[in-house]
Amino acid sequence: MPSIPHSPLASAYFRFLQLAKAVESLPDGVPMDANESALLEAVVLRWHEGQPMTVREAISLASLGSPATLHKRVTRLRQKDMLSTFSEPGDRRAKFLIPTQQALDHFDQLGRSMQQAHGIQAA
Amino acid sequence: MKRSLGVLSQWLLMTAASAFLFIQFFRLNAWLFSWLEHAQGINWVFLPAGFRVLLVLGMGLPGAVGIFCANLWLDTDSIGAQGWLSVLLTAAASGLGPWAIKYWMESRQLLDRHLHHITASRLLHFVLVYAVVNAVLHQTIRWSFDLSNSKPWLDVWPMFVGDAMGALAILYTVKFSLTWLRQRANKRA
Repeated sequence: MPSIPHSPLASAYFRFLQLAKAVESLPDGVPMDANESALLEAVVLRWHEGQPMTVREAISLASLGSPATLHKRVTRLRQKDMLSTFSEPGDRRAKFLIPTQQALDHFDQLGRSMQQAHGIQAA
Repeated sequence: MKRSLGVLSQWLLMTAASAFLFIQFFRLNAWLFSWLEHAQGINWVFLPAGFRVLLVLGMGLPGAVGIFCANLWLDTDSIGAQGWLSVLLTAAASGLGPWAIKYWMESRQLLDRHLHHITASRLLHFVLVYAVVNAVLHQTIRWSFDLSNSKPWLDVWPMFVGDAMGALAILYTVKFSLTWLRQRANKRA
């Protein structure tokens, strides 16, 4: 594996990238409620399985609420920049839901917290 | 030899960029928040504090040396009234103080040199420790040199609040700007 660059400018650039990631994950006072978290988890799980969920499928998740309620939650998650949509080039009717970088950072943070909790338990 | 010159030139470039940015934000802060000034050099909101955090964490020692030089330059007029030693120590506290905190956090493995494991909470810890240390160092220097009848136990609070508020204001401005840019890019895609 090539070693970390020693050029001061390259090192500074990489450090600024790391800083930008940390700055982006600063708490912003608009946390998700439990219902939004549940919907986000369902959508991200499907995306992680390689079969992104369509908006139609998301608002049909009867276990999480009525279609009207779920539609509002999808909108709120999009406003909070946790979900974004994309369409297949050949079929623009179906809109797929995918997690944004912020959502991935959120799960990354959860994973780290879990690791820390395991570390504390092991100690 | 050629490589050493290259490293030196990059080091000098970063020092100059750090000094330039710090001076510009110092002036911007004076223009925007002069009405919030508690005493000379102490403001309830001090935006350059945020740049100190970014420059020292991002650039490391060249960033800190740039802030040190910028402070010397900004305080040139005060050398007559305050003496060169107090100006020198104030500049060192301003630039090298945050770098010393970074070094201390690295030695306790709370940060690493390349910021590989930096998180939002570690960043906020850095801001908090830096704001406390910076305010205490500055007020200790002012008190030691008996500058403008300083009352360190009173002045330390506005300085701490100013540094913390300024740093948070800059960090959150960067955060919301990055989020906005990403949303815009997503919409275009």
